[in-house]
Amino acid sequence: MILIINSIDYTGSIVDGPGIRTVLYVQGCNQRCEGCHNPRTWDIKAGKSVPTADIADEIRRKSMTKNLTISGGEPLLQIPAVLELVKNLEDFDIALYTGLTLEDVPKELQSRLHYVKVGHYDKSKHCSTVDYVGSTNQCFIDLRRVSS
Amino acid sequence: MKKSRAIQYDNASQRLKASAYVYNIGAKEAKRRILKTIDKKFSNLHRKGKIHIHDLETYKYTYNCLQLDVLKGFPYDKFSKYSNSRKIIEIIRHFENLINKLGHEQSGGIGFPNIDDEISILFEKLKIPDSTENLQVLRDNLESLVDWLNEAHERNCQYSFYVTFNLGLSTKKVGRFVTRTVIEYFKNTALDVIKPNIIFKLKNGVNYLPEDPNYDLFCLSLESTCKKMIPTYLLFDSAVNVKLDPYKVAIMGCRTKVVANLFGEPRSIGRANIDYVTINLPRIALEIDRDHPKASVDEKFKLFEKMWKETAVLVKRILIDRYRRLLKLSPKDFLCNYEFNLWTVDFKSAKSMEDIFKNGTLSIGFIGLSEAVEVLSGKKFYSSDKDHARAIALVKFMREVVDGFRSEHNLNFTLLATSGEMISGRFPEADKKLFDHPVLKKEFYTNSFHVDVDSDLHPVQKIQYEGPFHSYCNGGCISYVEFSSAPLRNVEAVKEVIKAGIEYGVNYLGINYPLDECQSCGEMGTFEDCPKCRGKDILRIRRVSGYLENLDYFTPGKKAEERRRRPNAFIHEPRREG
Repeated sequence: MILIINSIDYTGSIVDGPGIRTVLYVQGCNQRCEGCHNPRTWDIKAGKSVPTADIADEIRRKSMTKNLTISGGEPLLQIPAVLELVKNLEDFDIALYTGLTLEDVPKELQSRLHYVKVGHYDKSKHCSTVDYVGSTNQCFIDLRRVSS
Repeated sequence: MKKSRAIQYDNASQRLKASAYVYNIGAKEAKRRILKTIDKKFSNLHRKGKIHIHDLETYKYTYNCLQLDVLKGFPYDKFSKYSNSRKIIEIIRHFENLINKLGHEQSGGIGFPNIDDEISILFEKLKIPDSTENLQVLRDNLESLVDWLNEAHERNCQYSFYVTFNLGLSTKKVGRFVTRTVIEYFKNTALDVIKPNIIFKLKNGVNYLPEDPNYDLFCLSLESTCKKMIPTYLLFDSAVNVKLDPYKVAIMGCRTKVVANLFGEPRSIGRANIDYVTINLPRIALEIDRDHPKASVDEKFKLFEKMWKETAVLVKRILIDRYRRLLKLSPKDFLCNYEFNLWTVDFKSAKSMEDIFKNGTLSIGFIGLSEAVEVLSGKKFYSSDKDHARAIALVKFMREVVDGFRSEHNLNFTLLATSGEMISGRFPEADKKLFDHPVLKKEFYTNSFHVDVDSDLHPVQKIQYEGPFHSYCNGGCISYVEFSSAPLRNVEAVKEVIKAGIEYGVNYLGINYPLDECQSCGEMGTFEDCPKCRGKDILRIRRVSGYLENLDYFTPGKKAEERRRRPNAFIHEPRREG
């Protein structure tokens, strides 16, 4: 299965979820939030098409920690490929950043994620002091804590 | 308080005042006289910036730094008449007194090797019940001690006292209370509370794993590190430390480590570093580059070893010269040590100064390994496995030579990975007058064996590259991971760095990030002008030579280094491909 991606950052993020995380930016987003930190990922026709197995192999090889955040772009525009990728990285601690709601994340995908960040970016509610979100309307959820 | 821009400080903890000007004139003269009285070979090396003799003005007067044994010579008798609350007040006052006296009696830092355990034992010995009321008195006094350490710029009329609290191991009620109180207070007070240095001793079975009795204190410590960079972490599960007794070993905030002893068991408590001299590694490399342009890289490294050893032999002689001069002093020249029996050997009953000082270490330091390797091989040592192996071989060689000195002279020589607050700028400044090379463009040399501050390496990679050096630098060393701003509550990130540190053999570990506070509205973060109120009066706290300081007071070399610091983990604007 093919996932269209923008880039993978292996330098180690400490703001896209707990721990030091590798961040995969998928390509394509229809939310177009004003003040988006990554507008180059909007264009649905741009990006690189890569088989999910290859992405998983590369991440496994290059990631310095077993923590991955799937961001974008809007990952939920490519649910089947994202699900396939997540299945390929079962031993990874995975977070998903979506501009949509928790209900939009399929249960099968949710069950394989540790964290999910939901809600679009609202420039007027920008904040730099709340963990792992860009604006106060967004929510960072620990799915394992919720389910247990 | 804003500093006067006209004054150039030579140490970030310095605040000048009238009596300090007088002291400094005297110190300058003392340095001049020493350089005239020691062997010309020694003074020339120092003057030309090939080496740096630290604390030169006290060359014949005192040793460097000490991990105090506060319990042995504690004035227990005096306390018998006091009420419980007075006993607690006087314990902390006694500590303050020791800091004040020792701060003037020795040239360097003062370490409390287990402040949690020490206070807990004093409670037991002085029969102070661990009641809520007494613990409240203890809290008030510990907080007051921290405040005093931040306010006092009294050492030599201008500097703060370099004090380090090692803690985290005591599982007793009072000991745990001390650790909790100190860290909580440090974490929750204003940004300009930056002293003392706090070192959390991490050990599997005591505080590292969730089932350990002090795991809650480790979690609290991580929160504080996330907010204010302190505590740093002494890793006892790391290969280099795993065989050591965590209760007996402690570190000075700057990184000095005193453990192995030719005259007794390995321990830090009651032992000092006597003196240290740092060798300018890039200078040697630049001389080779100039004089042997046609030599192969391997030949250059061989030459480097030879030339370093020649310098090290002279440095060794300087250290012994100073040591011998100190032996001519009398125990009574060290009044505080004499009165309170702070060393492993009692000053009152010692047969000679040698009986005392032979237990100390004589350290040969180095800075600028990164620049030296770059000059020799044309590449950064972390750019390939081959250059990394060469850099490790070089440090291993240095250690072997130092160990040779140890056997030859029956003295505790150690290899120190120096940070060198002042020399990071002084050495390249001297080298610029003699050489023209790209490594001299940035106006500072990199701390000890560290990878460059703008390496852009992943935190774990940085640890992987620096880890192997830790086992060789037995006089002390630290690795830092640089985050681009305070990691807020991402304690897991700090935990992962610590985990990597243990895995890759790091002895002592710190997390750095730029920490700014708007003085108009109190907004904290990392910024030029305040994002909230647009205020321009910003307090900037950074770490320098192991201690947190106000950036306004940095030395020129460290200011240049700070400008180039790049995070090993990003926060603000992630780097992305198009």
